[in-house]
Amino acid sequence: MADSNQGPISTFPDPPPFYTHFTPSNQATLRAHRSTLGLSASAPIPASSLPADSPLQYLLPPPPPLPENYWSFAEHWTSPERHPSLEEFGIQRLYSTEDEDEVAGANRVVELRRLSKSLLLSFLELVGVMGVNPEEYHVKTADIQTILFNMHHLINQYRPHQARETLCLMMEDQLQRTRKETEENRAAVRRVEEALLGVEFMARTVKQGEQLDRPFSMESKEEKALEKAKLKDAQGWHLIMDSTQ
Amino acid sequence: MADRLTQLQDSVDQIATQFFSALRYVSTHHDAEPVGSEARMVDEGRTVDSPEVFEAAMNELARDLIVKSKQIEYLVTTLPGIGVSEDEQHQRLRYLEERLKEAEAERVASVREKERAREKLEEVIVNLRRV
Repeated sequence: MADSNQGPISTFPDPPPFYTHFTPSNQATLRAHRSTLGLSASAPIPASSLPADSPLQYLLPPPPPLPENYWSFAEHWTSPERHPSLEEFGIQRLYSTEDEDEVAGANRVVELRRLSKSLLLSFLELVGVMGVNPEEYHVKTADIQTILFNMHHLINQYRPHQARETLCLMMEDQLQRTRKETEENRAAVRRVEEALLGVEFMARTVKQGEQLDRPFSMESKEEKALEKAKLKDAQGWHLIMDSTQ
Repeated sequence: MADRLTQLQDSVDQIATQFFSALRYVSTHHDAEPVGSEARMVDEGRTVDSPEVFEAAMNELARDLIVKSKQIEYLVTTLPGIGVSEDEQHQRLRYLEERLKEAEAERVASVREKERAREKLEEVIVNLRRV
């Protein structure tokens, strides 16, 4: 692997080598295999129904991770996913909670404010300790550390809540945008219809005017048509000018 | 601009840094007092500020800490969606989803209407030009 050192370093590892087996023809074979087994499109194909050395084995989804926990990209995950509690990190929990996982919204504010006050007080104590007996600093710094961990933990627990809240706001925003666009489209349609009605009305007046002016001048039919066309043309251009403004 | 929670976490980290820098300032800039009849200790590696400057700097550091603490409290009280339960949020999301679907359908219809109106207008204009 001499050249792998010279190549660009990618953020993510290379895909596993078996991705090359995901060809249209292999997928078609797998579909055919599924139908010969008489399975529905969503039912999993048992791995034992394929020869063990067949590349089609790679196309079958792997079994889901075992319960409890697993590793992915050098990170530890719990299955199902949840926020690990402070106790699991060996940190003392400083806030009270009725429910193990979730601290209610208003309560969280109270707890965070309390923690921030404690933080300041602990610092004051630390400064005092440093003035009297500097060797004893670690007691207070440990306190401060615990308080900071608790605060960060409380804030992070709140993140899913905030994500939902943000989503709500974004959706409201989009709703407003969509409604506005609908309104604008309808207004445009109304304007066009009004303009067309105006043209129609004008055309009719012109026609009537011609009939009244020269009811018997049948011989100048051509002339009449020409005049009408000129008028209509002029109106039409006005209309175009109006609508393009 | 980062969201409220990130701002809050940043502020918490900043106050911790301020703790450190306040202590560090005091330990590196303080003057020494002679004990009894001994000579005043002089530390070459330390810059000693004059008493006025030192006092002013300590005041400023203390004030900054209080301001930061107040900022944290303010951010805490303005956390988004305080007092809204998860179920309420889910309900609201579902409601908004329905409204969005309706609004989108209406929008598509209005676009079609607009297209038709445009065609009608175009037809009239073409006719006018032909006459």
